[in-house]
Amino acid sequence: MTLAVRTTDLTKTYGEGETEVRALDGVNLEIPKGEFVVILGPSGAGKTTLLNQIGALEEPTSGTTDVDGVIVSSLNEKERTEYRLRTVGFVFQFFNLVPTLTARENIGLIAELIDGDAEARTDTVLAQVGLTDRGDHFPGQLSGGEQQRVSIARGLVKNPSLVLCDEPTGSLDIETGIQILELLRTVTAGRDRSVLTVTHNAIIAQMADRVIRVRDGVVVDMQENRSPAEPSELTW
Amino acid sequence: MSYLATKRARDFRRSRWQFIAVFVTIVLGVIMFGASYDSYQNLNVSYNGTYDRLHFADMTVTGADNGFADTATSIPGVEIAEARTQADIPFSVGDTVLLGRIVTMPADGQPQVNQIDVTDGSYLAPDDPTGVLVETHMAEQFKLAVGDTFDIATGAGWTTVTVRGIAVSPEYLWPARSRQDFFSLPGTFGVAFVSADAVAAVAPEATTNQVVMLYDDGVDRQAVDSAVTDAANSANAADIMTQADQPSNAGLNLDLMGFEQMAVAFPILFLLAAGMAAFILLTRIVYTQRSQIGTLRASGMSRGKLAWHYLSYGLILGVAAAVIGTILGIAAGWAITGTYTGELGIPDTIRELRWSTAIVGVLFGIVTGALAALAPALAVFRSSPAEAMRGEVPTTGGRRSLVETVLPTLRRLPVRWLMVLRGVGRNKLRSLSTMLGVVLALTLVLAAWGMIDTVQILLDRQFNQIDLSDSTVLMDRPVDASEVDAVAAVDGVAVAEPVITLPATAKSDGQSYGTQLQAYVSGTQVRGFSTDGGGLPADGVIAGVSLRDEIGVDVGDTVTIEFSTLETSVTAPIRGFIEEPMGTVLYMNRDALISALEAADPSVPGTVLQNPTVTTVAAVFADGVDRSAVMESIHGVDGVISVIDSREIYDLVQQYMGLFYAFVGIMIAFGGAMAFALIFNTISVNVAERSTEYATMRANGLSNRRIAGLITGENVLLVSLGIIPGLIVGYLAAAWMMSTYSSDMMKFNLEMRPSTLVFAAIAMIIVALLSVIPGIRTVRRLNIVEVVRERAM
Ligand SMILES: Nc1ncnc2c1ncn2[C@@H]1O[C@H](COP(=O)(O)OP(=O)(O)OP(=O)(O)O)[C@@H](O)[C@H]1O
Ligand SMILES: [Mg+2]
Repeated sequence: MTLAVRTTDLTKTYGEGETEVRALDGVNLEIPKGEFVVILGPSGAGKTTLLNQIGALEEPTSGTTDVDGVIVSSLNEKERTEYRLRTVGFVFQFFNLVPTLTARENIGLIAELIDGDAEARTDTVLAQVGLTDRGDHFPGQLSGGEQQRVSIARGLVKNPSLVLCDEPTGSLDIETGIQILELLRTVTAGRDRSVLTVTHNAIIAQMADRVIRVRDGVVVDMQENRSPAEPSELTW
Repeated sequence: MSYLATKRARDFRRSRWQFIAVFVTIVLGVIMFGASYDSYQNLNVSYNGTYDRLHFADMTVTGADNGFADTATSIPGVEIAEARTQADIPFSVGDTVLLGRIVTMPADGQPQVNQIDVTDGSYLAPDDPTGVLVETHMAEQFKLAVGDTFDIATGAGWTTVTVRGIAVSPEYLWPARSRQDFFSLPGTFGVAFVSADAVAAVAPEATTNQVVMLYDDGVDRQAVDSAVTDAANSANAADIMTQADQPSNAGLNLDLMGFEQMAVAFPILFLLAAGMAAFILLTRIVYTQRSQIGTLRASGMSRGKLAWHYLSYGLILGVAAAVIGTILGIAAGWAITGTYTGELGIPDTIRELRWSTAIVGVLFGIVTGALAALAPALAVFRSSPAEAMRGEVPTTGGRRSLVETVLPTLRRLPVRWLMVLRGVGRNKLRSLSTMLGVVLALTLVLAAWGMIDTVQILLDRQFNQIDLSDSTVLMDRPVDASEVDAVAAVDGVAVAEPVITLPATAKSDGQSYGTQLQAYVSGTQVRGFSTDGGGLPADGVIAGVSLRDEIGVDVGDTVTIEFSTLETSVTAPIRGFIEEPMGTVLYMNRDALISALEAADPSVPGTVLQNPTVTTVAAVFADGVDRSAVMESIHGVDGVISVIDSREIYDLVQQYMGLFYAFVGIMIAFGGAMAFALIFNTISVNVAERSTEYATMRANGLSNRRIAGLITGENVLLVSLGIIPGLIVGYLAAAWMMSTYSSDMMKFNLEMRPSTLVFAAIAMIIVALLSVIPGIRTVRRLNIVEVVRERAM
């Protein structure tokens, strides 16, 4: 079994002295390739912090993170940028689209950074998220769900082996949320790609291949789900 | 075009008015630089072109012992020393008599030093001893053409001369008789160039020796100047004048200096304002986009690329504005140069395309844009991609304003007004930038306005407190008590007094200063003195304050006063110094002067001073009389040849002020534009940042008018806070500018009318009110729904 992600004694603290917060406290994780993984936990548990570590957005206080055999925690700034560009795709709760660029341009902005035909790639992912006909709309002209689909397309356009989502449905209503989850599932289906989704909605966990529970900066539980439910079967 | 470039273009469009405001400010700043620097350079080159071509003297020594020309030639660094005669003697042109000046030139060809351009007619000829060349300003004034005649006073009476040609001289590009008489009234001064051989016949008593010199190329001017000065002093010279001190050249240089100063000071003001406005704008843009920035970095865009992206906003803005500003500035500089040389009749107009101007101008713009964008770009470089994880964060924490803490009763004000107070402290940097805009604009406006006020107030002083006479009367015979009484007896004349004016050189400890001495009767009513006692002391001499530094003397010291025309000298103690706007003159009591000259060695009898070129009659008119009628009556008095109207020179100087007004108008407009740009940007950014807040207030039923009131209140308050430091800094800047213009020739101590300060302050409030209008309109047009939706992105 090849591993997508492995963390060893991963610790992250914020602040110093009295105000020190141990957001992650010695996390050891092994996540196999090609899975749809859900990270669950109450607010302040350290979910976002963990995602940030795996995505190399921040440096750890101690411990290591290994993604596809690369020790990302020891990369320098340049290598981390390169790693984020080649290996991971992000999807955020706040879609963070550039309001002055259209959907297509928002995706193209990232597509341009990688070799190959940026336009073709953009068209492909736009089609994957079902927004071919809305490509020329500005974010202000799109619904929340559509904006989130654009941001997923932006995360996918570089064809990453790891997609990291932080509460991708947090700003959306139930139905739209389900559509987004379906989308996230389909983009991983049958590919050599893993998806890590943070949520504090336990119901989403039913559709995951694997569920990781985090509390107070520690992984308290990790379960494999042999028969994940289809998103449409989920009930809130 | 890459998508980042597309984003940039759309960001520009989104905040187009703010970017345009910055753009225009940079353009104005660079125009100011290009125009003033190129004017300075072009005029400098043009003047020097004329000077070089006509071999303008590097040094002029008057009244030295015979043979000084030979002494001077042997001084290392002096290439040529040429002797000539220069004398101030009466001319009679038509029915006007004036104190003219003749300057000799070789009849058989141009001199080696101080050549002339003969613009009409022909040069002097040996076979035409009474043919003279008339300096162009005099020819213009009296409408003299080739072939016309006029009279020159000689010892034997009037000699008629014929105009052979009209000439432009490097010594009289600005027609000033001396450093004391810098503004000569048209028709009271004129220069004629006469043949050296003929001068003996024309004016045998005019033996003022003058030696004019050219220096070798590339010498150390100061060293040669001081060597010549030493030699001239040992040769008993009456006046030693370097090229820098030559009145025409010094006058032109004052203008040049003005351009040079403007080329440095004003662009700095504008670029500071533009830089601040751009900085505020870009900081705001980076701030609103920080989660996008985080996302792009999380998506693998390097921080260098992103930082460069934001830096490019400033660079593009700076480069575009600089290029346009430089082109317009250089064009304006050329136009100014042309107008100037045309107005002043400078024979050479040399305009060059200077890469230095273009390069510095463009650099100015680029540096401004780059510096403004640097901090925001650095913030991008340092930002963490984890920012992407966060939503909208409140910009600054709320807190009570400082005044509320100091004055707790203020807390009982309506909440709306508390919001205004707290708004000021909410974003200190932006509040400071509004205040900075006000300070910069006031500096510009007051520096310009201070000039007007100073010149106006000084003129007023010169003509209402110092020169109290209404007219100066010239006679054709010795002026004695009976001549003075005859003028006093004219209907409408309240006071008539004799006034003695003599060329004089003040000397002390080997230093000398060429000027003139004026003597007035005890208790004179034709001239006011700002001495402690309020009048002219009974003995001793008082002098313009610049004499203190010119020859290093102080009150109580004794000076030697040499009278070249009388060929004698006296010594007198200095009783005091007085501040006068024009010239640095020596004053004595008339009786004291007469007795000192009688006691001098050689002695000069009092009757010699009655010579009409020495003594004139100054008259003060009764209140409310018809001035021209009185002057007409004086003209009818026996022996009167000319009546000069003292008011006319006042009016003349007022005319020159017309240019000043145009200049000040432009400065005020520019200053207003600059303040507008900065305040407008700050307010726009404030409104954009608080749009959710305003939208929510609107949603809660607060009327547009109320919100407009809040915005206006906050910004008028900020502008008012900037006005006090602005007035202080502006006043100091104006004082500094005026002081750099001051010399022994003209003294400008800053004078500012209180009303100027009030008007400038009111103008700033008006600019503030104008600049909030776009912000208020934005709020009025706020689409509540859209605002809320954009927050969700
Ligand atoms: N930059 C920071 N500085 C200080 N403390 C931080 C910082 N970022 C996170 N923390 C703290 O670290 C802890 C974990 O934060 P994290 O954002 O990972 O929680 P989370 O599980 O994602 O919570 P939520 O479900 O509310 O998003 C929290 O206590 C938080 O306050
Ligand atoms: Mg979180």
